[in-house]
Amino acid sequence: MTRQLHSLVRNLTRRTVVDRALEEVRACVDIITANHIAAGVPPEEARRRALMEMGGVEVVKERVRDERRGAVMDATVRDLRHAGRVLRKQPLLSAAIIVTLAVGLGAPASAFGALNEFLFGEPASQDPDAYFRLVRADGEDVATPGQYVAFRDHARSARALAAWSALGLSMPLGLENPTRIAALPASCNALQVLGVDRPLAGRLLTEADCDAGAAVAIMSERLWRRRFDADPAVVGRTTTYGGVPISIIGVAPIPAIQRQADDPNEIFDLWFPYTATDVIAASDFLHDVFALDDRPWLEVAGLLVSGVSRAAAAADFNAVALRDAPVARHRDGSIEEQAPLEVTDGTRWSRAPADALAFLSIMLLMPGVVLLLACVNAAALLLSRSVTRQREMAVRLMLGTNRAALVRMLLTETLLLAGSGALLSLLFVTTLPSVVARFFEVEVELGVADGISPDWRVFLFLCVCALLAAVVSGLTPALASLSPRPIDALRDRPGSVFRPSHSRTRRILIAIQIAASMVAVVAAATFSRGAARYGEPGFATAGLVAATIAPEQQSPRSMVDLEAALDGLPGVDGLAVADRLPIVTRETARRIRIPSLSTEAYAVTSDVSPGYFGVFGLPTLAGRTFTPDDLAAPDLDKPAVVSEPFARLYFGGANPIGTVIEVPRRVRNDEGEVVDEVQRLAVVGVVASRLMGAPTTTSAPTDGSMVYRPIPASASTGVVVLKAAGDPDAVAERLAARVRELVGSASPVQTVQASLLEATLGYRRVRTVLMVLGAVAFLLAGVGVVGIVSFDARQRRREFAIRSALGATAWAVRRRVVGAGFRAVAFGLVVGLFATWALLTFADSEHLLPIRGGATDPAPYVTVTIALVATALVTLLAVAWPAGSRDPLVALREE
Amino acid sequence: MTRTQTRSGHLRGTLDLLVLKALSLEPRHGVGIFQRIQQITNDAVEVSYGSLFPALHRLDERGWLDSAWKMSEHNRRAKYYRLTAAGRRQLEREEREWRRIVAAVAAALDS
Repeated sequence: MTRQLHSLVRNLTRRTVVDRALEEVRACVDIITANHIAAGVPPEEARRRALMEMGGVEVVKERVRDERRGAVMDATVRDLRHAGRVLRKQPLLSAAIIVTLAVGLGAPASAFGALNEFLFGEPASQDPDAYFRLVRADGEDVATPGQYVAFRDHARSARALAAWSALGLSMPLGLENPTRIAALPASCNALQVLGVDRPLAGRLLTEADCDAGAAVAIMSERLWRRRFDADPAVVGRTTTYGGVPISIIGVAPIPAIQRQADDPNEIFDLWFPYTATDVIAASDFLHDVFALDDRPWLEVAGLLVSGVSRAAAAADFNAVALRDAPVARHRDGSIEEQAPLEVTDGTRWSRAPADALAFLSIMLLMPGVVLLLACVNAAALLLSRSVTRQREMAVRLMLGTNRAALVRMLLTETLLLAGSGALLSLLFVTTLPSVVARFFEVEVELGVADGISPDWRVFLFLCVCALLAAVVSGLTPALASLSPRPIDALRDRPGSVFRPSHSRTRRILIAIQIAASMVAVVAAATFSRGAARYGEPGFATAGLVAATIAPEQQSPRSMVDLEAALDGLPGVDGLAVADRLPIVTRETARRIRIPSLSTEAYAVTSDVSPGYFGVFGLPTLAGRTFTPDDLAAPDLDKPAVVSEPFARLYFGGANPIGTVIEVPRRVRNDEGEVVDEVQRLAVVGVVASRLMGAPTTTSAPTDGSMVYRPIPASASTGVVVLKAAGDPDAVAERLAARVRELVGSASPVQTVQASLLEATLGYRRVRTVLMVLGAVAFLLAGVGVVGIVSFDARQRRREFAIRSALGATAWAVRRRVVGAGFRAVAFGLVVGLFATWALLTFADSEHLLPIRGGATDPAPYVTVTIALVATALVTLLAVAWPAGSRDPLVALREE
Repeated sequence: MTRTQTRSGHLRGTLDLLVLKALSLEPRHGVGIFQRIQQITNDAVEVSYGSLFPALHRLDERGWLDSAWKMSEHNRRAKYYRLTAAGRRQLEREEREWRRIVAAVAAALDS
């Protein structure tokens, strides 16, 4: 062992001395020569024979070097030194490749850097190593209140166990000007488990609060500073929710949490005891979910006892679940089967690695295309150099270096380039993720922008990308450098004048660039078109002003009354009320039945007043819209107006008027009991289609199929929409004042255009990023295609000269250049079209596009194809023109 | 005629055994070892210098051979190799192993 280590050190550190020992090979040649001379062979012939028997002194030496301990390391060092020398010799080319690869590597590495915290970030905790999250294998809610208490009291593997609600509350904070804030029912030790030991003001929740089910709450530091200027007097004040007073008892630096294991991080600004049933009961919706003690509605997290593994903890919790915990029950009282419990470290990766990987793959797709283009560009640049290096490689091959060693040497050069590119890309990797976090306003999900810095995962990801980039961009040029017949390269005579294989390689590179840029640009264009459609949503938005009446305002007036009371407001051309604004909030999808067609499906519905269609400019296509009499019709027997896509989808060309649509629903009757009933809607008219936002269920069609119902006379929440005759801002002010007067509290008032812009801000930001990536991809592809085509034409000057000398006309030569290049472009276009269609179809099915059906929108495909064909043709003609104009004799002489 | 190659581990092992055997009587230089192998195998095994020198360095690094520069019979400088004690033990081990394999294969062929 010592000897082996010694020889390794000696081989690596005293290479000259070790190499001197190889002089024995030459000495042996002398001995063989002397033997031949002694046998009567003339000295020169003896020497020649000795060298032949030896098989080449340098070849034997090289084989000995390969056999020595540390040979790989030694060869790598030699290759790196050689690569450094080669790159220094052509500084401009090297710099171009490094910058190209830096841009290419920067795109996916920055995207990964931005997502790193989201996927792998551990939640805030006083002891991150001990923190764990209890989850169900099927992702369902974890525990009933009884099960949580059993886990807390009986599981020995956890030293602290906290719980919080699987559903957050949107609660009005009624201290002054009420606005909705996110609130969370939680166990009273939850903040301590998350590492919050001390309050900033007041106190934290205690077990006594939970035992008493006290209506008290902790406020987040964020809300305290933003809304109350860090006023300590907030502690002790009272807000109300559904008439229940809630005392603010403290302020704490509440961290962002994943409410459910797959949710993005979110900060809840008010935490109150999960046992505060008075608060929970104040919401009909929440009460329905939470008031049942044997429904699982709690998420569980905790701190492990030191030395207990997560697997052991999971076994412990499952044992407690079987032995000590009460069962969960369905609403009808039957026992609910619950999936086994698992213990994760609290990261999304740990919870569902396959889902996280799928998410990561989608997010890295476009940056990956940019990297691919950068690699192909680098390959093209290296390919141009490889041709000039064929002679050097031939000499090395003739001296006995094997091809594998040469490929390794050439790949080392690319590795050095990719490594330098990766170093340069650190400029992007260290700055872009924070820019992305700020740009998308996702600092809660991704981490505070200033705090996002690359960790070992990002560096590892960058290294893997750099390695891949080195292989992808280096392998083709490396193989091209190794001329199949070294002797031809040494004689400076290419194997064939026409060298079809090299041209084919270059054509493949062109095709890849065209295909990849098409994917990037069409995807960006499709997304952009989808996002732009929100600017023209199929209804009039100009001059529309909307006031939202929220449930917590407990409006004393119904929406119908409110509409009547607002009638006559000066400067108003039209007035309507509805349950919600189109697109801005999720479109409510309900289950419907059409008995005459025996059809049952989900459809988006909207409850509107008679003036709605006029205010939104939706023309009546058949029948009529609503009249004031319709509002007074019995609730279970109402008229309905359907949209044109709905009529087309379910009735084809037939007239739907008179058809009955049934809406089954579950309501609370006067005695407070939940009962099932069916609302019957008779279709009285068809109106034009409008653009649709995301529906509440993905099962509902999003092609504009809608059912409008008259707004119920009892509805006291929704939106009031006015069409302003003049300045919408002046009308907005008047509306806000009047609504405050009528409802008794302030309502948010905004123009519909502003609301739409706000609702689609995310899409527009994604569009900007995709367009930047698309532009970078197009630029890279353009530069690459120009480089490859012009290099290809330069390499084929001899061929063109011979063809010209043999009688080919200038146009024939030009046709050949354009034809060869265009075949590659056409192939790339076909592959690109197919790949783009597949990608967009997938994105469409995953609801990643702003508008459904984007994959089949022909406009982006056609536009981008025309742009790419035009660019390629201009490039090819620019290169082909001089190729056809050269005097063949001059060209041949130059060659 | 069998050409000893170093690509397969088995053939590489055979060459190592032949080199150790060639040096079992006295120290020799590269050409001497080459000639000795041809002599003891009755020219049945042809070793190339391209395989022999890597083998010598391999065995040297493992501590089974020692080497020193001396003057050859033609009064030329040459590097002479000799077996170390470890090399001699290795030769015995490899001989035993070789005979065992040969016997096993022969038994298989005779069956």
